[in-house]
Amino acid sequence: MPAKYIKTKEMKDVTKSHVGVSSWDGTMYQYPVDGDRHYLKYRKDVIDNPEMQKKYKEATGKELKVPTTWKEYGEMAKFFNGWDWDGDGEKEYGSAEVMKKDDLMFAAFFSRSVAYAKNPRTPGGFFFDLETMKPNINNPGFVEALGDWVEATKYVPPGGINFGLGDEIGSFGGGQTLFSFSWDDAFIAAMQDDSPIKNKVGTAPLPGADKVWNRVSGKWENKYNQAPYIVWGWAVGVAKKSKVQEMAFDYLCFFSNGANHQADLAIGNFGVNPFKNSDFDPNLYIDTMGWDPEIAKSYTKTLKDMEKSKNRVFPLRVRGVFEFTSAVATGTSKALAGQLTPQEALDEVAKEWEAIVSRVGKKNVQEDYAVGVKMEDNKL
Amino acid sequence: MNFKHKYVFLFPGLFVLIGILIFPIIFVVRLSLSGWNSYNGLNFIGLENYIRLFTDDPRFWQSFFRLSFLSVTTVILQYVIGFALAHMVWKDIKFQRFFRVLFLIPMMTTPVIMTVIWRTFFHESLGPVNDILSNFGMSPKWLTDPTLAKITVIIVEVWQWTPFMFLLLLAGLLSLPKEPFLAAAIDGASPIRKFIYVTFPLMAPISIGAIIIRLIEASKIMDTVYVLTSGGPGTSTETSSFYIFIKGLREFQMGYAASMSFTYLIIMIISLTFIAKGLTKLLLKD
Repeated sequence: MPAKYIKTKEMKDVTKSHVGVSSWDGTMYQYPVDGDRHYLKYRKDVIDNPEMQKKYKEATGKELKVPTTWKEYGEMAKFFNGWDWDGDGEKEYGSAEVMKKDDLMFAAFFSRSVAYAKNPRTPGGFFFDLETMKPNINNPGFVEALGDWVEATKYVPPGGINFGLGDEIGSFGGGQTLFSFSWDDAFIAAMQDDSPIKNKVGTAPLPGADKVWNRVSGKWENKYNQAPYIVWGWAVGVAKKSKVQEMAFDYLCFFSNGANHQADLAIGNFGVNPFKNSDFDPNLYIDTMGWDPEIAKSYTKTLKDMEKSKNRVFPLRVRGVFEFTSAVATGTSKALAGQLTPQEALDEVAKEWEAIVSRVGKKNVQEDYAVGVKMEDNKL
Repeated sequence: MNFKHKYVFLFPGLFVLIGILIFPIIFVVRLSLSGWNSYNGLNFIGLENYIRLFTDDPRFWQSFFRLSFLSVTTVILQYVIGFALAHMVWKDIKFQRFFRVLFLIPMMTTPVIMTVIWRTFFHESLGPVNDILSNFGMSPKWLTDPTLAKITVIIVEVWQWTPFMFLLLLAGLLSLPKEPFLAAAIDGASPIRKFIYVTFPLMAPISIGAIIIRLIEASKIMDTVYVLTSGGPGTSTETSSFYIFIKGLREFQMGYAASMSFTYLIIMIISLTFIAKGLTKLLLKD
């Protein structure tokens, strides 16, 4: 990136995470136009409803609140699955998730895994042990997450294990489920003027877990753990040999300028999400999009807090990345379909990852992965 | 007289043949001997990809057997339904022309778009099929049950491509000589006997051609699977071409995908040769 574009006022507003997304080992190569992260979306009108809280308490003996662990998420989703809890004459369900193979499902799995497998006390790699390049993907943390995910097949809408991202957006955004997690789009779709559930939804960080796997000691630590998952975001590269490089960068400046960017943020299916610090101002959503102030504040706080976290996970960014993520999609979808147990499925993925590392070259993957680990370990 | 210039007229055709058939095949073979992917160029790794395919990739073979099941089943169904429809409009019936055009419509639609529509039909929570069936207490898992997902793929394929079979068989029926039918009528043969002993045997050559053409097409099934299930649930609807697509255009293992494509091509040539011979032996006894 030419220095003059890095020094612009707009670029200085980009969050640290998304400067990192557009950079490699501290050098910025791409122009960021979007910011992605996974977080929890829920039906605020149900979770905050005293009548529902009473009903839930009577049935389960537990409090109905925004879930802070995946186990709580599962319990609540199960309770609110398959009955008409919003009185619209249609059945509603527990959770809408991206479970369709080959449709970014690997990202949904990692969202569920970070709580159990990203331990802030064991730096040095979430996906692999950076020193040995042995995959962590089949350790008990990931297996526990996949076990939860298999359980989730019982509280997604009928056909839910064939839901791609578009289905998830339509399902939660259309008011069919209590929960959802993944990119911003489903939440923004739910908050659009044409949505039946506008101002009835809330956001929170991804659920955590009451235990986290310590891959160094090889034991569970019975401590609450939560980890944000920063799922990159669109960034644009301009060819080094382009004769119209300046024009391309000027266009990108125009595309992502304040006015255009704010207009893009309001459209659920557009795909552009907050990546600037100024996007975390709740007034932006209250004044221009008609959001309920409480919801706007909780939304911006959720996103802002992810930036502050010291336990963030970034997606794998190594040579052969598509092979690694495809192997995860295949293995986890076999578990969701009941073809393999979670342990068998992830053992298969680990075996495939070892084969990919060997094909791509251990040194190559290690060298690339070291940059991602630096980001996760807050050294970049 | 010197007629050498006549070869000049062959060049355009030859050039096209080399460009669109010979060169791609040679290139695929060369590609299959490389480890070309998103980080390696067109290097040379000998038979490594083939060794991996034959010794360490059961998923390819599973997808191949799944493909065999799906293609044979769909083609049999298409043949039976296509023959029945062709036989129906071959006769002088009311609105004959209307039906002939009507039965061809599915084939004229774009497969990917139609599959998206079928996916919407079969959507288990938002689709109209289960909405209607729920009135009778049923809600089949069209796309998420491993067995039913295969049946759904078969339904969509049969709907889309039966018209092709219908078209070929109708053309065959219209070209049949009238004399054998007159002779059968004079002998007092019933419609069923007429079909078994006259129509069906006379239609055998065209039937073999139609079945082989459809088998070739059905064995390339990819778009239907991609849109309906992405090969899921798990790997239960994954076919060879979809698996090759994943390896080549999702994982960018172009070299390995080329070795799978070439192996698949050889297997298809051999198996279709045997199938054609078997069908000829079975249907053309005399």
